[in-house]
Amino acid sequence: MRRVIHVSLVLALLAGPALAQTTGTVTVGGRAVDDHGKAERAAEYLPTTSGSELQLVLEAAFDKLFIAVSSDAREGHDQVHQLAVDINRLVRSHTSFTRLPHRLVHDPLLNLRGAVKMPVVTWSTDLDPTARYRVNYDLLDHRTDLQIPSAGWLTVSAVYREQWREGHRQALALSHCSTCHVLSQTRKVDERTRDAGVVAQVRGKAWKLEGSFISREFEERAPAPTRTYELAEQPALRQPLFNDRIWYDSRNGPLPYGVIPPSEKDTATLRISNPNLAGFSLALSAASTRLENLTTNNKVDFDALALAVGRRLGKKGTFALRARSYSIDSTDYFVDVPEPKAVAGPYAGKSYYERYGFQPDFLRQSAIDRDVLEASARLSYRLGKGSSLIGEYTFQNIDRANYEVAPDKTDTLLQRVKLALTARPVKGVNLRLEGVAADIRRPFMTQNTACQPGPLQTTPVGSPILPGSTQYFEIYASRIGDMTASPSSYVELKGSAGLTLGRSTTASLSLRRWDGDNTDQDLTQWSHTTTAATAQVAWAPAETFQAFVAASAGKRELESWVCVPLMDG
Amino acid sequence: MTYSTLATGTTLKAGSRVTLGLDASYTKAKEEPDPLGLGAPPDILAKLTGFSYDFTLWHTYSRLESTSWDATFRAEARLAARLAGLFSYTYMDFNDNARYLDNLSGNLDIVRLALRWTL
Repeated sequence: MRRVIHVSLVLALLAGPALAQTTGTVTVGGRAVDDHGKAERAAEYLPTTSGSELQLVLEAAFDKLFIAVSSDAREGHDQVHQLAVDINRLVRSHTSFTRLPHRLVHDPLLNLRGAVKMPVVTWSTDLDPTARYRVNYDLLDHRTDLQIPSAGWLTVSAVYREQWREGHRQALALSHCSTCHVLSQTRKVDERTRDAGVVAQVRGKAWKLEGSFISREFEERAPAPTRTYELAEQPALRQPLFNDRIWYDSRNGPLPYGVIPPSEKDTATLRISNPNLAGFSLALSAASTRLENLTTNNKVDFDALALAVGRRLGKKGTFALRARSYSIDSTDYFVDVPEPKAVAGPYAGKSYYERYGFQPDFLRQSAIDRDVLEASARLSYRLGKGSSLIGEYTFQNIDRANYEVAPDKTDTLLQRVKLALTARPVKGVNLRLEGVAADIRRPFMTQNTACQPGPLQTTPVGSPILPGSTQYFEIYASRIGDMTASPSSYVELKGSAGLTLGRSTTASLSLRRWDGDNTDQDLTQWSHTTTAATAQVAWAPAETFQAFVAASAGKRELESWVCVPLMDG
Repeated sequence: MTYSTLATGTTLKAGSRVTLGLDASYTKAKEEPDPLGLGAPPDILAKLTGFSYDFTLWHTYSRLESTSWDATFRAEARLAARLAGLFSYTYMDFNDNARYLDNLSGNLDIVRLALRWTL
C-alpha cells in the first residue's frame, strides 16, 4: 500500500514547512511517447507511457537540522527518490526508493513445432500467445545512525531494505521426454525480499569495533504454475509401456512446477581494526550466515575469518597482506524417487529397479560444500611523480567436501601473479599497464559426463523395454569424457593511456585482452578469449561549447568440444 | 561474439538564455556459433533413418544479430530569472537482424516538455 502513495508528494510535504529556507529546483512537465513494434529490447528498462514528470532537488539548512530531498518521478513505474535528514549530527538518516520496469521477452517457441517423424514429434503450446511480459522492480533502502551525546564513542544504526518484484513472466514446463511437448503459460511474479538489522560501532582512540546483525526474509507470494502432464504411454502405439519409468502423468492431475520456496537468511559480522599498531594497519573480521529453505528446512551455513595487514616501507613503498578462510556447509537431502511398476509389456508387475537393478534413489550432497583458504600479498613502490609499480601474488585453495574435480581429488589450487605500472613519461601523458598470469591446478570440471567410446546397442532391438535394450543409465555410466567451463591457466593484459592535447582537448585509449584455456581434460578442450578496446576524445574549446566522440569494440570467442551421440530411437 | 559502439555528444550555449545539446549512440552486435563439424561417416548416418543428423544449419539457430541507435536533442531556455523551459526529443531504435525465433525490433519517439523553477 505504501507504494500507492505518491512518494514525491510525501517528500515535498516533508520539505514544505522549510520552504522559506530551501534551495534547489522544481521541475514539472510531461512526456509523450509513441512506440512501434516491440519495446522489450528498444526500451528494456524504460517506461513507454505518456504522462506527467516531476523532479525535485531541494535542500534546507536550519540551526540543528538539515534536510535534502531529491525526487525524479515519471509516469510508467519509473521513479528515484532520496531523503537525507541530519539532526545536529546526532541523528543521520538516509532513505532511497527506486522503481523501474523490466520488460521480458516472450519466446513464441515456434522452433519447437517441427515434426521430425510422426508421431515422434517436438511440439509446443503457448496458452498466452499475445502476452507481453514485464516485472516491476521496487527497492527501498534506509539507514539511520544514532549518536548519543554522552557516549560519543558509540554509534548505533538501524538498517532496512526491502525489494519487490511484481509482474508476469513466461513459465515453461517440459513433458516427460524432455522437449517432446513444451507448455508455455503466464506466471505471476510477486516476490518480496526484506532485510532488517542493527549495526553498532565503537570507536576508541586507535581501535574501532563494528558489529552487525541483519535478518533477511524472502517470499514469493504468487502460486507456482501447474501443468497436467500427458498420459504415460508409448506415443506411437498408445500403449502403457513406460509406466515403470515415469513418475507422474495426467492421472495425478495438475502438478506445480517452478516452485520458489520461502527462505530466511541471518548474517552476523564483527570487525576490529587499528590504523596504526606499531606501524602496521590491522583489520580482523569474522562473518557468519545461515540460509534456510523454509519448505524443506535445508540449510546452508557460511563462516569466514579475514585478516588484513598493511605497512609503509620507507617513503616510497607499501606492503599489504590479506588472508581469508571460509567454509560452506549445506544440508544433505535424500531424494526418494517414486518407483511405479510396469502395467504392460514383458516386465509387468515389476518396478524399474526390480527389472534392471538400477537404484534411482540418491543422497543429494552439494558441490558448494567446501573449505577455502585464500591470501594475497601486494607490494607497491612509487617510482616518481605520477609513476608507481605494483606487484601482487594471490593464491586460493578450494577443498570441496563432496565433489571430485579429478580422480580422488576434491581440491583446486589457483595461483596468480599481477604486475602493474603507472607512469607519466612526459607532461600530458598518463600510462597504465597491467599484466596478470594465473595457473589453476585441477579447475572445476565434471568427470565422465560426455562421449561414449563405442556403440552401446550393437544389436537392433525393437523397443527400449525389450530384453537387450540399452537403458539411459547405462549410457550415462559409459561416458568417459570430462567437461568444463573453467580455465586451467589464463593471461590478462590491460593497457590505458590518457592524453592532454593542448588546452581544450583530452583523449583516452584503453585495451584489454583475456586469454584462458583448459587442456587438462582427457578428451575435450575449452578455451575463451576476450578482446576489448575503447577510445574517447573530448573537446571543449570554449565555455559555451563542448563535444565528445567515443568508440568501443570487442570480440569474444568461446571454444568447447562436445560429443553428439547417434541414436536411432 | 563481436560488438562495436560509437557515441557522440555536444552541448552549445547559444546566447545567454539558450542551451542546446545533441547526444547519439550506435551499437552493432553479433553472436553465433561456428558450424558444427559432425564426424560420423555417411554410411552410419544412412542407417539412422528415423532421425535427422543434418547440422548444416545448426549454427544459425542461435544466431543473434542486432543494431541499435538512439539520439536525443535537448534545449533549455531561461524564461525568467528563476524559470527555465525544457524540451527534448529522443528517438530509440532496436533492429533485430536475426529473426529466426521472433522479431524483437521496435522503436520509440519521446517528446518532453517541462518548466524548471529555481528556488
